[in-house]
Parts: sequence; C-alpha cells; structure tokens
Amino acid sequence: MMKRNVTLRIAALLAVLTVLSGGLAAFDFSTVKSKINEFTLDNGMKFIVAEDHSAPVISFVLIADVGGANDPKEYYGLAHVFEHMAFKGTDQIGTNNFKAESGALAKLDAIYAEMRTEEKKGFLADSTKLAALKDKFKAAQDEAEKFVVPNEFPNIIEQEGGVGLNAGTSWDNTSYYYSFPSNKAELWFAMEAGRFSHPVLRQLYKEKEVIKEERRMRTESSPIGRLIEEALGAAFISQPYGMPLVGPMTDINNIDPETALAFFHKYYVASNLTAALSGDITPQQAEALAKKYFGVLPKVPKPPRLITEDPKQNAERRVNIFDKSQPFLLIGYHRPAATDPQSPALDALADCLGQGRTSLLYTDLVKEKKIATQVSSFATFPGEKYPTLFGIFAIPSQGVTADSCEKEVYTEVEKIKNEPLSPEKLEGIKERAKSNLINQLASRTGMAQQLASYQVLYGDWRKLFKTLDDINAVTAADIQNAAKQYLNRENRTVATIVTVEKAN
Amino acid sequence: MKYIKAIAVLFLCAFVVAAVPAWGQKKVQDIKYPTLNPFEIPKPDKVTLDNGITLYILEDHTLPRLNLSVQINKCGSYLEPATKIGLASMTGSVMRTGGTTTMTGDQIDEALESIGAYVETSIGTVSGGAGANGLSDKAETIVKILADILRNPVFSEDKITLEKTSEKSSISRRNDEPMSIAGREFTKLLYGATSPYARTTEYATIDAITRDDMIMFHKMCVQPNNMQIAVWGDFKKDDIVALIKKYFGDWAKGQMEIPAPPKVDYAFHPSVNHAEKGDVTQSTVFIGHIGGVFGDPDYAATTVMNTILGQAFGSRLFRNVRTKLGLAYAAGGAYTFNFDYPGGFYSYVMTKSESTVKGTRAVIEQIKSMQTTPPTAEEMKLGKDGFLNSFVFNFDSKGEIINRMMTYEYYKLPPDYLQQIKTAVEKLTPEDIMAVAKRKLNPDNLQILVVGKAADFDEPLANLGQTKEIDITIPQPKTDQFAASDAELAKGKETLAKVAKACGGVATFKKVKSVSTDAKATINTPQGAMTLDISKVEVLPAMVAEIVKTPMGTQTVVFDGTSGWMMAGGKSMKMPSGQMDEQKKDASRNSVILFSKADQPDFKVADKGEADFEGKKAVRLDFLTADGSQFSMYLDPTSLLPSGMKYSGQTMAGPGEVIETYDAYKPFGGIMMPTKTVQKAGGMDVSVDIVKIDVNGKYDETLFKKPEGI
Repeated sequence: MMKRNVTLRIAALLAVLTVLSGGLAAFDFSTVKSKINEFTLDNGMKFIVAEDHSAPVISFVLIADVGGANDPKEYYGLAHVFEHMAFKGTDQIGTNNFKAESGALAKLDAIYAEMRTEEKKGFLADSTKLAALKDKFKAAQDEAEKFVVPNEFPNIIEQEGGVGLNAGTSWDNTSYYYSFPSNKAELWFAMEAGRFSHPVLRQLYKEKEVIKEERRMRTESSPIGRLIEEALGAAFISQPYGMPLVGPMTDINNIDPETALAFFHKYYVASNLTAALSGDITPQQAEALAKKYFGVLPKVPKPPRLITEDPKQNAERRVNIFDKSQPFLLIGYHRPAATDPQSPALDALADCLGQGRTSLLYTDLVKEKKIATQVSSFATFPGEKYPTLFGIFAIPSQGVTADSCEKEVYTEVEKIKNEPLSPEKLEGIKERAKSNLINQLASRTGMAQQLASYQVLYGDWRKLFKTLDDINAVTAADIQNAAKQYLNRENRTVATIVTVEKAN
Repeated sequence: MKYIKAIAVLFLCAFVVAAVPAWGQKKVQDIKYPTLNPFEIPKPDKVTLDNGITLYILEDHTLPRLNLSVQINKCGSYLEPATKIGLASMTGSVMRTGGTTTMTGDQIDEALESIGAYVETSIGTVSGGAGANGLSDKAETIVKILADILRNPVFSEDKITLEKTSEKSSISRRNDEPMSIAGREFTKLLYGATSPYARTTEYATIDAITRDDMIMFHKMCVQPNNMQIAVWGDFKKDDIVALIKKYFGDWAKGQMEIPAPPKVDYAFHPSVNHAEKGDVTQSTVFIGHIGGVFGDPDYAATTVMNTILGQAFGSRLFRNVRTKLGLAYAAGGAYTFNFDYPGGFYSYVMTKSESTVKGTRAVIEQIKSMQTTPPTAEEMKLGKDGFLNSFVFNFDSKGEIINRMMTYEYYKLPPDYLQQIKTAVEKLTPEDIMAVAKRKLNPDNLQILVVGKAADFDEPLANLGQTKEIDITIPQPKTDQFAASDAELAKGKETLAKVAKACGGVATFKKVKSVSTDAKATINTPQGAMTLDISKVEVLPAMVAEIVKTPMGTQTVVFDGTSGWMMAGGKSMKMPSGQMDEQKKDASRNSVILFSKADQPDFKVADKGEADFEGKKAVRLDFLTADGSQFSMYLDPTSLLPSGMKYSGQTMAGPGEVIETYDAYKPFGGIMMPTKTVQKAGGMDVSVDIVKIDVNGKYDETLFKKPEGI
C-alpha cells in the first residue's frame, strides 16, 4: 500500500514535469496559420479557407460589408430587411412558376407604389382612394402568394443537413452563416451564389410585419432594448450609429422593392463580399467551386466607406428612462474606430477596467461595495468600423439606484487615470488575450467568423493573429493615456433606468 | 490512419471532378453529392478512481487548450427545503466565489484570470457541475484549483452576503422582461407552483439560508462517488490521469445517501392564464402541457414531429404563423424530454398585443393539425433528411462526444443510443408521425399563458376559455433594510432628543434602574379571547422576569441578560435559543434605554418624516442598534409621544411583522408611560391594560436566581 502511494506520487510528479516541458512559450500560431489559405475571384470576391479534416464538416461564414450604417434616410432598417429577404429564395428556389410569379409581383409592386404615393401625402391623402388601393393590394398579394413555395430556400439547407442556419445584421455588416457535412460543400456555393445573384423579393410585405414584431420584441417590450435605443440616439448626432438598427415603424413600413433592390445592387456586389470556410475542404476544391458559382457575379467597384463622423462632443449627454422596471446604467465615451492605432490600448483598458472578477470595476462595485451585481466594460459599441463608443454598463443591486453606481464608476475611472497599472495586472491582460484568442479559434464556426470579420474590418485576416503582438506592445502608460484622453465628462453619454412605481 | 486519409483523398478527387462547370440553369436539386468522407469517431478512454470518480479522457492536439467538465450526478434544488429555496444555486456559486481552506475567493480569481483560465461551478434543478478551461501549459494550476474548490470550499460570509445581494436583485428584476415572466409562470403551470421543478426564490427564502446550510448541502452532494469528470485537450492521456489522481485521488468517498428526484403527478386539463404587463406592445404566449422522459420508445418519432411542427424554418408554426400570417418574429414549439423528470410540450408565439388571441388560435390550429393532417412528402424530407444528413454534427467536436458519453453512461443509455435513434428515424413513415402526435400531443387539454397588456388585446382572453389572472407581484421583504441619508440621521438625533424630553427628559431616564408592572392581558385568537394576569419586572439594561397567571397555573419566564429559563409547576427548563434571541432583541427596543441614551446614542436613528401608522398620521424614526436589530418607532406628530413600533420578529405564523400600538399615557416617577398597549402579530392580538407601574421600586431579587441545572 505504502509503496503504491509512493509510485503514484512519483508518477504524478513526472506528469507535471512533462506537462510543463511541453510548454506554450513556443506556440506562435504558425501551425494554425499554415492551414489557412486565401484567394480572390476576378470579380473581387474574397475567400479564406481554414483546412481541418478532423471531421467531415465545414462551417461557412459570408459577410457582406454593408450594415445598418448604410441605410438611406426614410428607410432606416433596410439593411436588416434585406437580410430577412435573403431567405426568400431566387428565381429557381421558392417558386412553383417564376414567370407567372414575376408578373404577379410586378403588378403587386405597382399597386404598392401607387398606394405609398398616396399615403405619403400625409393628411392630404385621399382616404377613399386609399381604401380602394388597399383592397386591390390585398387581392394582388393573394395572387402572388399562389406561386410561392414558402421557406424553400432554408428548407433545402436544413434538409440537406445544414445546421446553425442564421444571419445577423449589425450597423457595420451583415453576416450569413451555417455548417454543412463536407459532401454538401457544393450546395453552399450554389445556394449563396444564387441568393446574391438572383434574389427575388417575394413576400416582402408580409416579412415587414414579421420585422415589426421583431422590433416590438427586441426594442419596445424590453426595458434594456428601449434604453439602448435612447442611449445611441443621444450619443450620436451625425453618424448613423445613432439610428435604430431595426428601424422605426414608419421606415419599416416605407420600405419598397425598388429601394430594396437599389440597395442590393449597390452593396451586394462581389467586391463587397467575403467568405470564410473552416473544415474538411481544400483551397483547390473551394476555388474551383467559387469560380463556378460566384464567378457569375459581375465585377463592380467596392462601394466607398461613409464619410460622416460625429463632431467632437462638447457636453455630457444624459437620458433617463422612468420605468417600472429595475435600474440600469449605461455609459458610452466616444472613441476612434477599431482600426485606429490606439485600439489595442483601449482593448487593454476595457479588459482591466471591467472584464472579469479581478477587474477594477467588478472588484469595487460588486465585491467590495456590493452596489452592483454586474458591471462590465467593452472596447467598442455599437460598431467597430467607424468612430464608436467605449462602453460601461452596470446592473445595480436591489434597492440601489443607477446614480449611486454611476458615481462609483467615475471614482474607479479616475483611479485608472492617476495610478499606472501594476506589471502583474498588465501581464494578466496579455495572458487573457492569448487564451481568449485560442478559445475563439476552437470551433470551426468561431474560426470562420473571426477570419471573415478580420478580413472585412482590416482588409487582412492575418491581423487576427497580429492582435496578440499589438496587445503585448501596450504599456501601462498607453492605457493610462487612453483613459485620460477618452474617459472624460464632456465625452460621455449616460443612460439610466430610474425605477418609478407607475410609468408615465 | 494513413489508410483512411488515402480513402478521403480518393473521395475528394471524385468530388472535384463532379464539379463540372456550366452552372447557369442548373438547379441545386440536380447537384450530385459525393459520399461523406469516412472518418473515425474519436473514442474517449474511461478510468475509474478508487473513490468512485469516473474519468473520461480524450486527447485533442489541435490547439494548446485543456477543458474539463465535472458532472455532479444527484444534486440540485429538488433537495432544498421549501423555506430555503435558492440554497442549491447559492451553494453552487459560493463554492467557487467563497474560497477554500487554502485560498480566498479573491485569490482564486486572481490566480485564474492572471493565466486566462476559467473555473466555474453551479448547481441546477437535478444536477450540479463544474467547468474549467485554459491553456494546456497551465494544466496543473487549473486541476489543482478545480479540485480545491470542489473539495474544500469554506463558504465565506462575505461572499454569501454578495450572493444573497445578487439573488435578491434577480428577484427584483424578474418581472422586467416578458420572456422571463412567461418561462417562469408556464413552468409553474406544468409542475405546480410549489413543485421543486417550478418554485422560485423569494426574499424570505434567500434570507433564511445560512452558511451552515451550504456546508451541509455541499457535504451531501459533492462527494467523489457522486461525480464524473470529462477532460479533453492537448495532453497525453497518462499525464492527465496522473494529474487528476494527484488532486482528486485521496478524496475519501462520501457516506451520505442522496434521495432521487421526485416524480411528477400531472393531470391533463385545459387552462387560460394571464399575467398583466403594462409596458409592452407585444404579447408573449406559451401554449402546451407536460412532456416526456428519455428512454421513451417514441423519442425518434417525436424528434421528427418536433421539426415538422415547430423546430425549422419550414415547420408548420414558422411557415404559417410567421411567414404566411406575418403574426410573429418568434413562433415555434417542441415536445421535450428530460432525464430525471418529464420535460414539457411548449409552443410559443410573440405577437403584437392587437393580435394576441388571433396568434394564439393560429398556434393551436397548427398543434391540432399534427393529429389530423399527415405530414407531406416535403415535411417528411425536412424532418427525416434534416436529422439524418446533419447526423455527423453529433461528432464534430471532442467536447460534445465526451460529454455525451458521460451523460449516457450515468443514465444507463446504451453507448450506441444515438445510432439506434438514427436507425429508428430512417424507418419513420407519415403514419408514424401522425400516430406519435396522437400519443404525445393533447390539443384538448392545452394550458395557455399570455403575458401582455390586456387593454390592447384584439379580443378578451375569455373567448379562449375561463381566464385565471396570475398575480406576479413580488412579495416584498418583510422589513425594509435600514437605509438613511446623512440628513435623516442628523434629524433623527434631534427628534429623539425631543421625544426623550417630551417623555420625561434624558436625565430622568438615566436614573431608571427597574420597572415593575402589573397588567391584565387579553389574547384574541381566531378561536376566542383569553384574559391573563401578568406581573413583570424589568431590571435595566436587559434582565426581565414575567409571571403569568393562567387557568393551568402560574408560569414564570426569566431572562437574566445572558441566559433564560421557564418555570411552571415546580419544574424548570432552559429557554429555547430562538426565544432567547427574541428576548435580546426585545431589550434592544426598550424605550427607557433608548431615551436614556438620547444625548449620546450608541445606535443609529433616522428621522424618515411623515408616515402613516395604523390609519393615523405619525413621524417615523428608524433605529439600527449596535447588535444589528432594526425597528421603526412612530410618534404622535403633536405630542411626540410614541404611538407604536413595527419590527420583524417571531409570530405564531413564523417570522413576520409585529406591530405594537401605545395609548393612554400617564406619568410614573417622572416619565410618561402608555397604560394601554396592543401587540398584533401573525393573526393574533394581545391587548394589555396596565394596572400599576412602579419605577425603581422594590422587587423580588430571588426571581433572577438561576435554578439548578440551567
């Protein structure tokens, strides 16, 4: 018995030694990077392929470099509407008779245009005429519906074994993603090329009703949703980051096929699309399929970036929602885009200020003062592509107001401006950055998402791996300077929920 | 391995050849798919430690990571008493945050975050667990901390307070988001409001939880013979086994028996329920009934039925309620299975307030259609092909494979269970789906829950059936926490000084050494009234003796400041500790003492201004004494004499609010005393008429002589 224990202890000791000697110091991502390849089609569409043959599956992410920030005036919410429409099919998918359907849709859209023209006269609109048009519209809609094979586009993907099918719109971009067993790779190319070369805006008017429900769910019926809309509206006075991403009801209503298609032709061009594939496929296979299916997209120059930026903020801005729901605090400070050279310092600042249980804000507000149950800071909100906000939010403890948390947040912010971070704290930031990056790459979907996002944002996916070098170069003084430069009273927007017994 | 690669390459060649150009008119349906590349599903190794821990191991050298997941098999909120709901979840959190015998919680945070690692623990309804990950060169630190947390947590008081704050905050926020209301209340409809599977934390149940409770709960559940560990990542098998043995191997087996989760007794019945939420533009509607348990032979058919009903873009609920009617963004549903107790059949729609009833009917119609309209060929393809074609995704991540193996082994499902389900799905016909819909769904007995603003509904909910209003008001904590601004504290001192003056003056109160009282007490209970003669001697600061003459004889209750006893019929017994605590609190509320210290209070007193007291205007003073006792005193605004007090204490119905009112003040030895008092608590009233008060008079000192054996 005794002897066995000793053997065990020695074995354990050896185990530790082996584990330690196989250390990470040498891990420089070169193995990971060596499996990543890229190619660009003649029309400008970019592909990144991360090979991983450990299971016969592939995760696909396609990002269109267009988002809510590109919504035209009176059509806020259009980028998001288009994301929904991208699931409605093509001239081949989603219809039982495309020729007849196009005729019915043309008729429907003409009636809609007539109806909107009348409606847009506002109080001068002819109500009798409108009522008649509405009846005509209803009849034309029922007619067009006859040629629809509902949800055929997503059905094909799901039937063939696609999983995780979804899409997302942000202010910066729109991404479409799912995974297939690797023998269905060709189907992905066919489906995606189809929807971005021959989209058909069928069932647009019904989908607008669905999107209104999405607005009711995410924004109107949720206290935090309402607060974020108010906060961004106050923070941005010129930049589109201040406009509701899902749009106000009026603009969702206003969206018509003509504007939606114009938007599509401007932004859904090959040079504005980036795809990342991670899994059981070689770059050669991917390139052959890409040429075959996406090669048909015309070569059109990439649409320019937006010019407008917010003027320098000169006054603190505040919004308070008086609501029956519990208190909440959100603070945003203007900062440059994620591509700015100061970004790594701001990332480090966000980490040490409010990420994790050892961060300054968590230690003070949650652990010590117990006035908040959650507090967090994030380097960019709501976007990254354009000048954006450095955000802090706190969920006050029961019986504590947002005001009390706010005061305490400022005390901590001042501390970070006045005392440089200890070398241990700085080292911790770097260790966490490394660990986080590795965790993000651990799933195929994660890998594809990261590669595509970095390619779109920085124009080079390799930047993903360079972020560690950038963070490693950050000094305590850089963090302090970033805090001093941006976390100031005149540069912030504060949004709170103030709990009242009866709203209004 | 080489051989498999070769085959893979062969298939890939075929695949590229198949991709001949000339798309244009080619339909996606015409694409020829190659066979799926063969691949070896990794098989985890299994090792059982002497103390009963089952260990599953899987190497994965793609990235320098280490992952651990710990399953605590029989453990959960089903084991906590109804008066301490929240105990399991709090134990799960504070186990991690409260530190161990060797490290404080904050030191653990520092140690983990400085290396970018993560270790978290939690306890749910019927099981508990822990998860850990980090870089593989930090394996030893991670395993060591994980073991320490599971084996030696100390549940520090500070982190218990923190967790209680967090739990109470969650309670206060639980009616903010409609989805959280709907989920919670619908679960109550399925399992019963007091069922361990549905009941919710309340301020009182969180307050009732103590450190000792957590220590006991941890001791009961977290034992090596009730635990499995899965570990996967970049290591060599022997190394990681040795490491885990080093930190878990000498943990002795636990001895406590753990009861199994209770059964669910569900009677099918229809119901319509409404919870009012005034600040929404959209209703959240849940519709369904009880669900099933794993191992059910209908599992395969039900899975396909779910896809067709409400789990895919092409499902009936999505297609009709969302795409066709445009009534919702979110609509769907599924019949679910649990391992230990039945899951639920849930369908849902979130639709604008003005289409609440319409949306609800649309969902019910689709549920009914599952029993009346057989799935079309297209729907069968969606349900079956979707399942079969995506089957490979059950094996595309190491974490999934190893965690599933751990679950199957514990619940004694065959290792090829998934394969069996696949075979069963392959054979399913539309008739099978109709048949399973008839067995599993019960459209005549649907329970409906609507969270929304009733005033905006398209029709009254009564049109769907007799509607029950669910009151979601959060029961407030019994007493408010003492909270006061500096101004209120300053004014509190001033007011107290005025009150002391009105009652006889601080100097007079300082001279009081004892108060003897004779009184008649009438106890009003729901069963009737009873009158008793009481003599009471209080010797300040904390000694008190009460002689009560009852029809059964004389009882004496004595507290000498540190210990207490009761005597009746020549026998004596020790005062129970709970009552002793009440005595101590009583002493801290003694107004003679409070007023004697009005010039230099050793307690906090806040003037909270005008307040309502038992239907009359009053000024409220809040007190917080050095021993943590809290109470409110209400003053007559004109005379400044106390009209009464409120505090939380023991009542006939358990802990609750006690209200005392004071009336008919008369001077005794220079101080004003009420001669009529009423105490209301837990549905029982005691009114006391004072016959005689003697300040600093003679009293029988032998009353306070401790009897033998106390």
